[in-house]
Amino acid sequence: MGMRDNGCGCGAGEARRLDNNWQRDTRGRENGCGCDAGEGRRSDNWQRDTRGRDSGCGCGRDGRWDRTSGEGGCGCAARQVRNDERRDCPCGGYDQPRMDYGQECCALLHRLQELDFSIQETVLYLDAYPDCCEAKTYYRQLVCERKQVAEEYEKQCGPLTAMGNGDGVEWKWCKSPWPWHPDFPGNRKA
Amino acid sequence: MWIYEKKLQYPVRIKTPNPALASMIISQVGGPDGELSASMRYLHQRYSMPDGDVVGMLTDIGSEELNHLEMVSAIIHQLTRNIREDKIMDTPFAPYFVDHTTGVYPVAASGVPNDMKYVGIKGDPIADLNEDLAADAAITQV
Repeated sequence: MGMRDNGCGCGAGEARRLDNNWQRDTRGRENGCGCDAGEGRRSDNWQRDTRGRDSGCGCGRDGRWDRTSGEGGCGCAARQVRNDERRDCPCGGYDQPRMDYGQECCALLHRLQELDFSIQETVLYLDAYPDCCEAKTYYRQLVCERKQVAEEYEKQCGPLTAMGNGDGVEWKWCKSPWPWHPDFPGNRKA
Repeated sequence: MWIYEKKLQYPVRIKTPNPALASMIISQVGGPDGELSASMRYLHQRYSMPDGDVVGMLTDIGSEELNHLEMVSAIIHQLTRNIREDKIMDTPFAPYFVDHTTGVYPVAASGVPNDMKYVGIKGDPIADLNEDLAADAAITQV
């Protein structure tokens, strides 16, 4: 058969995939790819982590969802995925694009978070004691360093606000992982 | 107005999903003493404060509570990632899952959705600031 609806190309046969993950007709196989279900797993499609065997296919590949490479999340098959195609691959599932943030990004963000916390606390203190010169001096030092660190972070890792990230072809604001995702810098142990 | 910065105030690293734990921590999102109520309280009280310094304080604290809201929501999100349906059914997370799956819904652990009744806005600085004292004391009980 030419096209397999689920895109695994594992030899699934008549596996059918419907839009809403909770309505998936798996035709007897948990994940619908029919590879050899094993530990078929269904989880919220938006959060599916396709690394390792998480896809549950037992296909044997280290599933990774990478929008730009054109691979399906399960890595089961050669089937090319269009970059604009939103996929609910039963073998791998849809996940945010993995960006390999290096040590650099983690370190920059860590420093930024440290500075921002100090600034936040100092601001609250100054709200209560606006005439404290020591606090104001400390505040200015923090803000000065913060500006540099934030600039560096935005240059290397991705935008901090929507108010200025026009560099590059990609609309990075949306394409980089969002802060609650495990892949966001600092969220995984480096 | 608000500007959103694409980062968490502090990193959230949950190694192992734990839906049972999520069913309790959700109170910190949408419970009576959770971050959503806290931010709504402070951000709305500021409109009737006579002193600019107090307005500033309430603005800054209220905005910070939104940061906290995001962090706790991130905790819930990471606690419920990649979970198997059969592992949920016997946990206290099951009822939440029925209505919200692994979405993050502002609700208390008891199942009561977040409610503006948790927030007191009287338009009177003394009353409102005392409400804040009570709310902060309540947090120590969470």
